Amino acid sequence: MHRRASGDLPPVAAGTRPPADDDRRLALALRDGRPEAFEPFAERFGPLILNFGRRMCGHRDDAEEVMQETLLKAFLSLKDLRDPSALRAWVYRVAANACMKMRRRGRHQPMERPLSLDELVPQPSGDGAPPQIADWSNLPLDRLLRGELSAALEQAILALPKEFRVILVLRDQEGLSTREAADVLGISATLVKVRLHRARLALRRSLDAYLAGRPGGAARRRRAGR
Amino acid sequence: MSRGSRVGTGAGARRGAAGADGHRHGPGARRCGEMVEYLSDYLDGDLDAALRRTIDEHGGQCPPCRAFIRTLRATVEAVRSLPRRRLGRGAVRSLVVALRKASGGRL
Repeated sequence: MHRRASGDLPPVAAGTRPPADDDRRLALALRDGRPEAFEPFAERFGPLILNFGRRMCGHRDDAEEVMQETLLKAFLSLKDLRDPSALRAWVYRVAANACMKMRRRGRHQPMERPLSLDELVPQPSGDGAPPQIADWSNLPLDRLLRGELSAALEQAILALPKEFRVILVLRDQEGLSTREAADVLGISATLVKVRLHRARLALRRSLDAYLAGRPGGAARRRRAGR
Repeated sequence: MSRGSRVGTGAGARRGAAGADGHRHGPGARRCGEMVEYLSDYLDGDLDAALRRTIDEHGGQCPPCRAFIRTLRATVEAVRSLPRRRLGRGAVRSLVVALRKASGGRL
């Protein structure tokens, strides 16, 4: 995993986005009611929605249900899509609604609680000394992610309140821009940024709890807080 | 999108990577609490140059904030590195057949 001391993050690795023109052509074919367009539509968006559903619902069966419902519903309601180049956002909107409905049915639903900033950032000790912050960023996270860390991180994502989780998944896994995520969810770009930031802080805290006790993590905690 | 120096994704966050209101960890450092709300914009390249430089300089002087920024970056990179499930061509075909059946002839 490439890591830098500062500067911009690289683009989302999942970068499976086809050219916008392809989406537009496909949307026009679908809107014209050409049944043969459904298969390329399912090929392009099925895997995306399956991953999105899995991150949102946490269960393969639910993710498959979301995928099927989304593909069918999106296809059958495409006549309502005004801007053919917005096909991708349209499909994610249908998928997000399907996920929210599924969660309302009460499956795989963790306790929902707000993300308090006081809990998400380390606080100084009572005597005003700076907090101890472990720097585990140099641990081989890419190797650890091939093992149990991957499951721990997936659980941490599932434990996020849904309105934060959906933004984290859209932005940091599906690679949507802030504007696109805002359009999908019908909220402001500012709110997308606020919730994304808190979601990231919550996951950092989860990884910190998981990694700081490892060789390297605890030692670096002492040094960083000196 | 470039963000000015008055708006941060913490939207009113008052406590920083280093936590305390007004706490300064490094010599001459800005308040650590002012840093944390800008960090996602910082990582996403959405900050203007002046604020970005301020955070770079602060991180250079403040070990706790530097550790916080690095681990936040590593967190986002880890999320982005999680494996994605693939759907084989055969699975897509089966899906299409099933959905055509379920649509009652509308596909």
